[in-house]
Formats: sequence, structure tokens, C-alpha cells
Amino acid sequence: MASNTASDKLSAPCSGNCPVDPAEVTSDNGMTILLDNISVTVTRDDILERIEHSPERRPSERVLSHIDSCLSRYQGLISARGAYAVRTIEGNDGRSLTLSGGIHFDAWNLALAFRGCTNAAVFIVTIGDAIEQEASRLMNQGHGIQGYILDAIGSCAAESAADGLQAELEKVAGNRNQAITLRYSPGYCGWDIVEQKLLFQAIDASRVGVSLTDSCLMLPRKSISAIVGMGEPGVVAEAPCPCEQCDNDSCPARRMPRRE
Amino acid sequence: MTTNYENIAEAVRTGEEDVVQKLVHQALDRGDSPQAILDEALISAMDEVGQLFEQEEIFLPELLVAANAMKAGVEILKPLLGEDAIKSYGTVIIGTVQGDLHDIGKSLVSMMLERGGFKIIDLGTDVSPENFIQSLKDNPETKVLGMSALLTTTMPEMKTTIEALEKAGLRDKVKVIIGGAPVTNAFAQEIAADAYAPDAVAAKNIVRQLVGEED
Ligand code: B12
Ligand code: SF4
Repeated sequence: MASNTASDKLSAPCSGNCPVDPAEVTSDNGMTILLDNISVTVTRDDILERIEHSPERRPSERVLSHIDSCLSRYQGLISARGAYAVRTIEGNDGRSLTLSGGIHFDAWNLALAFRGCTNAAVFIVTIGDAIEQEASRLMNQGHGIQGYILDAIGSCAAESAADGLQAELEKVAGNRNQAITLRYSPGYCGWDIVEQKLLFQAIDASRVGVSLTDSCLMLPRKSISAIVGMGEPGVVAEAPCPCEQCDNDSCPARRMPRRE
Repeated sequence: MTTNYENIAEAVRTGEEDVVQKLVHQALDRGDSPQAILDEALISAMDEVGQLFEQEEIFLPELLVAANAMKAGVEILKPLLGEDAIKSYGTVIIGTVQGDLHDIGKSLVSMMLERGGFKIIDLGTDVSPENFIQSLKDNPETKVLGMSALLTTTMPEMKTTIEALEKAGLRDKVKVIIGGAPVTNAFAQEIAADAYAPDAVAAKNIVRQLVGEED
């Protein structure tokens, strides 16, 4: 077992122009690395996909004009930042996953998808709370449509920030001649949301300004936590997809049919 | 007169706030009763829009655009009717349960209920069982209590609140409806809530049924 423990959530000394040795940054001791300049883009199509539920339909002109007017101001209401921590995978028994620091996720989907991976990167992104506050304010003033659209933009922006951080992790892995798996989040794919508490032990979330309530709610609300597996590119490509074994028949994100 | 109401309804459907306001003023100038304009033009237009939503002819954004336009008309009638006369179907207390801070879904439900003719007491988010009970005591005319939760970890608070209502001897005074992304009908039955609704329009229809005012 490595010397790391759940409590050694080391913080990188700075962000941005960080003088930390890159070798150290990509080490597997669970050090929390901050990224405070994640760029986020949200398009009309992203929002339509989220709020219209039907790609064939074009919404009314009035709805489109509300979307455009919200899109013209959302950038001023978000500040996307994230952090990640790479840890060694110390155990994978096919049903659960153990990371350095004794962090044990009881998550069959990770065990399956990370088969053969040697490392995992835990990450958290947020876009801050300005947009959710503005959405609530509009809503409470009776501007339902604007509040709803701005809230949806916030959700899309959080996803975009997560994509941005994941792309960064792909580079980090590439520098180590590794590839990354898809990302998995507590609360999805059969992974109990209560394990958010463990995930928050694997990374110093305070550095991105995200906190977790007793009821496992992240604040700001427009935040995402996730983990990706890292391993030899060939191994990652061969790893099974959890959808094969998942019994969530109504999942909109299913990637392949369930194997009986 | 009917034509004017049809025009008002059409302007509500298409979300033309200014047109709604102009036509409501016209109807008033002609001597129509504010209550008739409210019931026969505005609320009925919103009900129609709700039906289009249920038939998946339109989606939530269009519904909200119509709700905005309806509100523009209601604002003109409010001072003439008095706050109480407007709310014809009864009082609903609503809130997001303790430990949960999500408000957009709950606020959408509040909004649709309000446009559907209910008086809404929105307690906001992170509402403890005690706060729900206090509000019920302060507003004894309340017919329905609505609870929202967006996470499975906060759903048990709905059960706790229902148990607290029972303890306080208030459970049979109100109907309880619950909703939110992870909530299901089965869960509603399991915790002995009276109803569940998957979205804001269904919520309005079901709450009307709960108070015996379905069309
Ligand atoms: C958009 C979204 C996000 C966004 C924004 C989330 C936010 N908190 O604002 C982002 C991408 C940031 C996100 C993050 C996460 N999410 Co998310 N997310 C969603 C999604 C797709 C839509 C939620 C939404 O905003 N809907 C729009 C609003 C308007 O709808 P609504 O709140 O549901 O309200 C409607 C109805 O529910 C109903 N209703 C609501 N209240 C009431 C009350 C009454 C009385 C009635 C009758 C009806 C009613 O009417 C409303 C209007 O029609 C849902 C899945 C889904 N399809 O619902 C998952 C979902 C909520 N997320 C989920 C999860 C797991 C997460 C994360 C934990 C993932 C992670 N590890 O990072 C985080 C948690 C974030 C946090 N703050 O802690 C799970 C929660 C499951 C659980 N176990 O609790 C869900 C259910 C997805 C799933 N697995 O099925 N998420
Ligand atoms: S079917 Fe859906 S819930 Fe199940 S593992 Fe695949 S993506 Fe996750």
C-alpha cells in the first residue's frame, strides 16, 4: 500500500503560472491540481437539446429570442474552474475499486470500466453560483422562461466545464503515455450518490470552492464530480462498457444493449 | 365578447404580453367583469396551453412563455379583483425539503399552480418538517402541501415530513403531493403521500383533482 492516506490531500502551491515541477504535478499522490481558466461554451443547440426533448422540433421564435438574449449574457455569470487529483489504483476486485489513500469505492461500474487501469483521476468542476442565483431571482420575480433558460444554460455550462477538464486530463495522461476512460459520476450508472463523501476525500474540493452538504449536495449547485480511469491506451480501449451489465432500461445515455 | 376572449387566449398562447394587456384593457373598457376575463380568457387559455403540453405539441419553454403573457393580463386584473378573489381553487403550501437547495423545478410548479388558480405559499428551499407544520398552522385554509426533492439523499425527508404531519394531527387536513427528478409514483405510495406528479402541468391537474376542482 502506498504511503498516501485520505488525509494527505496535498494542495499544489499555486495555480496558473505554477512553478511546480510537472513531474510532481502528474504524480499519483493525490495532490490536488487547480485549473482556474477552463473555457466554457454553450450553444443554442445545447440548450435546445436540454429543454426541448425533441431534436426534430423547432421552438417558437419567442422562445428562441429568449434563448439568444440569455446566451448574450451568460458568460458574465460564470466562472468555470476545476481541480483534479491523480491516484494509484491499488485494488480492483471486479465489484469495487480501491485508490491510494485507502479510498474504496463500492462501484461495480468503475470496477468494470477501469479494468486494467493503473491510475484514476478524480475531478470536480464548478461554474460558480452567480448564474443559479440570477436564475432563481428571475424565477421568483415571475420571469419563468428567463429563469428556466438561464438555469439550463448553467447546467450546459457545467457539462462543458467537465468536458474541458476531461480534455486536460487526456493531455496529462498522454504525457504519461496513458489514455483515459470515459468519466463516471456518483449518482449515475448505478454508483450510489452517497459515495460523493468518499470522492471528496480523494481531492481537496475547497480549492475550487465546492463544498458537499450532509445530504451529498454540492454547492454551488452547478458543479460536477467525476472520475476517469488511466491506463495503457490498448488496455483502456479494451475495457468493457458498464452499459453491458446495467439494468437501467430507461437510460437515455445507454451506449450499448444490455447483455442478458 | 367571445371573439375578444379568443384573441386574448391566442395572445396568451403565442406569448404576446403587450397584446394580452391591450385586449384585457379593451374588455374592461367595454364593461366585462374582471372575474370573467380572468376565468374565461386567461385561465382557460392557460389550461389549453397545458393540454398542448400534455399532448407534446409544445414543450415547457412555450408553456412558460404563455405563462409570462398570462401574468401580464392578471397584473391588470389583480387590483380590480383583490388578491383573494383571484385565487379561486384554494391554498397550496410548497417547498423543497430539508437538506435540498434546488428551487427551479419547485418554482415552476408554484408558477403553474398559481396560473392555474391557486394561492401559493412558497416556503423556498431547505424547508424543515417544523416549518411546513408551522406554515400549515398559520394558514389553516390550506388544502394541499407540495414537497420537492432533486436527490435520492433528500427524498427521505418527504417521509419524515409526512410522519411529522401525522404526529401534529394535521395529516388528514391536507393532501400531500410530491415531485422532483428522482421521485416516482411508487415512492409516493410507499411513503403514503396522496399524489405524485412528474412535471408542472401534471402537478396543476392533479392538485385540482385533489381539491375536487378538476374540469
Ligand atoms: C441538469 C442536471 C444537472 C446539472 C444541474 C444540476 C442542478 N442541481 O442544478 C448538473 C450537470 C450540474 C448536474 C450535476 C449533478 N447531477 Co444532475 N441532473 C440534471 C438533470 C439532467 C436535470 C435536472 C434539472 O435541472 N431539471 C430541470 C428542472 C426544471 O426539473 P426538475 O427540478 O426535475 O422539476 C420538474 C419535475 O421534477 C417536477 N417537480 C419538481 N418539484 C416538484 C414538486 C412537486 C410537489 C411536484 C408535484 C412536481 C415537482 O416539476 C418540475 C417542472 O416540470 C437530472 C435528470 C433529470 N432528467 O431530471 C439529473 C440528476 C438530478 N442529477 C443527478 C446527479 C447524480 C448529479 C450529480 C450528483 C452528479 C455528480 N456526481 O456530479 C451532480 C450533483 C450536483 C450537485 N449540486 O450536487 C441525478 C440525481 C440522482 C440521485 N441519486 O439523487 C439525476 C436525477 C440524474 C439521474 N441519475 O438520473 N445535474
Ligand atoms: S445504461 Fe446508462 S446508467 Fe447504465 S451504465 Fe450505461 S450510461 Fe450508465
